[in-house]
Amino acid sequence: MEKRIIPTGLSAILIGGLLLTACSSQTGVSSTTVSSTGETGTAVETSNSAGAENADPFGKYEPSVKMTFARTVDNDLNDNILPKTPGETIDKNRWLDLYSKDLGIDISYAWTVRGGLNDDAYTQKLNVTIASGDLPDVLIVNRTQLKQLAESDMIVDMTDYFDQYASKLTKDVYNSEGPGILESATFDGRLMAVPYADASVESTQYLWLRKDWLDKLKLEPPKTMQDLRKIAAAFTTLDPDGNGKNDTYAMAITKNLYNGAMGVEGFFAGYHSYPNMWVKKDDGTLAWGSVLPETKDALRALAEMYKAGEIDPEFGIKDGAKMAELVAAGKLGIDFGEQWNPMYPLISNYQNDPTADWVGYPIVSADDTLPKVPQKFRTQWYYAVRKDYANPEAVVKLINLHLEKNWGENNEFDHYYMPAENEGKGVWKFSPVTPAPTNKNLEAFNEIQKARKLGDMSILKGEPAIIQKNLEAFYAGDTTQWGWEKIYGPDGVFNALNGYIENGQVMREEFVGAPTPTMVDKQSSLRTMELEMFVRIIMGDVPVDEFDKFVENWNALGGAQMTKEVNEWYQSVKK
Amino acid sequence: MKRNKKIRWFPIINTAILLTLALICIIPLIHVAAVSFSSSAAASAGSVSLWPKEFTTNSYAFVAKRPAFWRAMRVSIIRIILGGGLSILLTITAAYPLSQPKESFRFRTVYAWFFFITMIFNAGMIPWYMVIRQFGLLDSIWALILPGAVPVFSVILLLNFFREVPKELAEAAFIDGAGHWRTLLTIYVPLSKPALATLLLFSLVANWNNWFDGLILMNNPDNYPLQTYIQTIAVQRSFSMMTREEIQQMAAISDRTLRSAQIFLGSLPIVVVYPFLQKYFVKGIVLGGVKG
Repeated sequence: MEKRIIPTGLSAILIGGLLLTACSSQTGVSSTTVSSTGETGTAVETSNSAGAENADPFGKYEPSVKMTFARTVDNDLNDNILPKTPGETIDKNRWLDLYSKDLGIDISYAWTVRGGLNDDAYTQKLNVTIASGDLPDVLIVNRTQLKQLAESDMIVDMTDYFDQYASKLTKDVYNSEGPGILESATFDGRLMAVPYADASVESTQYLWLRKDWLDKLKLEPPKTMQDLRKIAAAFTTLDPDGNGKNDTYAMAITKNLYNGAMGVEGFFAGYHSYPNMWVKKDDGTLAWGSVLPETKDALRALAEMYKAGEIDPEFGIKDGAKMAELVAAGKLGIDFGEQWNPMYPLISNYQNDPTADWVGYPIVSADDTLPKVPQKFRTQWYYAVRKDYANPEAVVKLINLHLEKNWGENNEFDHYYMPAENEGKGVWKFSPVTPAPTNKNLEAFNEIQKARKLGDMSILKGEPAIIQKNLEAFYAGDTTQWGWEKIYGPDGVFNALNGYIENGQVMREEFVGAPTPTMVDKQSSLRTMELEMFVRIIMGDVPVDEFDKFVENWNALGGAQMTKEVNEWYQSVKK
Repeated sequence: MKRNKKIRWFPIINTAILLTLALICIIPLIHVAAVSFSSSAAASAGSVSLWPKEFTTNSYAFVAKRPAFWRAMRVSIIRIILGGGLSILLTITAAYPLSQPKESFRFRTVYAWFFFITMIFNAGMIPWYMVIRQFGLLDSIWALILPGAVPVFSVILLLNFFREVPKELAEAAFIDGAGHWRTLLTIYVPLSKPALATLLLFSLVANWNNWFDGLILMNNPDNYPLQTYIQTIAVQRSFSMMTREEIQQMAAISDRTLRSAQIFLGSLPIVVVYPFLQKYFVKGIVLGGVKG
């Protein structure tokens, strides 16, 4: 009897204990539902009066306050910056020291994750953090998450803190694109987080062409869409690479159509069609660009090009990385994309074939009016402060100091942004908040151009000086710096941007609010439908007239409702 | 004559099908290896298929100097040693009582259901995360080991294996004065070696391959196991929202040959261990009882 009780009891205890751990490791299923668990009960009274009379944007806390963040550590930081900054780590570096010394804010990280903000890793980790209710003091969230946090009352209303504590420079930067940047974080008239101001101008589209092919075939850079179509035909049929084989296509496009590189948006703009964004119609209301009639003309043109063999017949299954292989192999000569395209993928073409000479031109139009150049709204991250954090204004102070030290009157750019002593690596990434003036790249280019005109490069300071150093490295034979020459060189692509601005061609995205209810439900399936239909039309699978049916379907399946909601939002911010 | 000819077709077709399947499995690995030994220009132009072009070991030299890779490798090795050992230990001790007849373990069915239910119902990611957080396991190696330490599928497999062991053997041991522990260790475990080897292999592979838990449960990238680390360098990004800084780093760092080298090295240990445990594999799943 004894003998039986002991082992039985023992195993019972053992099994009982195991139950805790037995929930097997079925973790592949990621439920990203964000629920608000009620750990926010102890809301501190919003201290409007706290520092109102004496709001110093750079005031130091005595004694110092603590602040926790969550952050990403991207490959650049891990592989380029940390090795060049001996003695500094993610948890202890010049930026955190600065914040501690000048502002009395001691920053630590609740967690860090490898990758960028856009990576799945960060999203997953952030979602479980929000769901578990155990928030760090400041969270970097996207617009959807911001809306959820605001609706479940987990974050602080930042309206007054931003008004009182933002420095002049900060306010200038945040208003540099009109009210859009701040509007995008505003719900019911209240600013619910401080945006991570990002430059919409960066999404400007250019036309990248193989200049060496143009020269070889004795063609001029295009002035109109008709010119471009002739060039495309020549690139396809006249054997521009001179290998005696008919193995080149003209234009790089991917199955995702809308891309920062190898996209179609710059091409569509030539037909005054602006797909994949909310645009203002002549009657003052907003509409989804993809379903407007002009889009049909652009699709017809692409379908003709596809039929003529000017587009890779397999583009419908190729993503960016796959199409980039064709670029690298020297099979393509036309690329619509953003200013960074020479950094990737075009440089891979140059590295395989030093004669490959890509040059950025302004986009062209199919009629005699200049094309508008669409600019997507780029601010997509927000610094949200946990509801019961005692010093919400501290995050505004961090932003003030970050901007001041890098771009203010008495900036220390060469210590805090890209110090020469650290080989020009971007040590600014050590800072947990990293907003930047939205026009800084264009301004850098213009300063370099000015210096070139004066013939005196020594007047350059800060970022332009670093860029100039990269250019000089390229002229001295460092082929890895080729991209800088294509962007910031004398014939750099920013010339085209200056032209766009002079001619008033820039067209900003109009809708910057949080996703509306119908968008949350329907947008992803509508996007899939749109892409499928457009790819099929281009590939000649269905006639171009199917576009009309697509518009009908789009409206019926939630598009009309979405448009209505977007216009309601537009009315609400316009007043 | 005719019949003989017909029979000969079977092994040919059989071999052909199996060979195709084997090739489908091995070709991607060879491709990754080939890319890792090629120059990056050839790799980015997509001209490498199954044999390296412009052979170079540059990327391996680079990986060798990369502390993050070796740190992650260390975490993974600790994980499979601890995780594999613990899961075998717990599987045996859980399967044994459950394999006993009802007369000697009265609540057997109840306990068996407790285990079984976790196979059918899954609480989902958030509760899973919260439980681990409440136990204070976040950011420690135990967060990777304890939650999966009792693979219920293995317990059921092993308890059925134990049941097939003839009762007479255990009875003889009891008559000779052995207790449960002794019977388990000297009769059941030695007889189940093939099954245990199979379960060990399952556990090793699962522990080695799981990347998602490392991502969610580790608060510091220094503690990532190898597969999580590889996931962060290998995922394809969309180009639609990238800034120039991101593009630059992508062009410079996440170079294809380098990624391939790390992926190849990451899969190597399991590929090496596999053949040694594989001989037990078929036996473990198919055989029952005391034929050994």
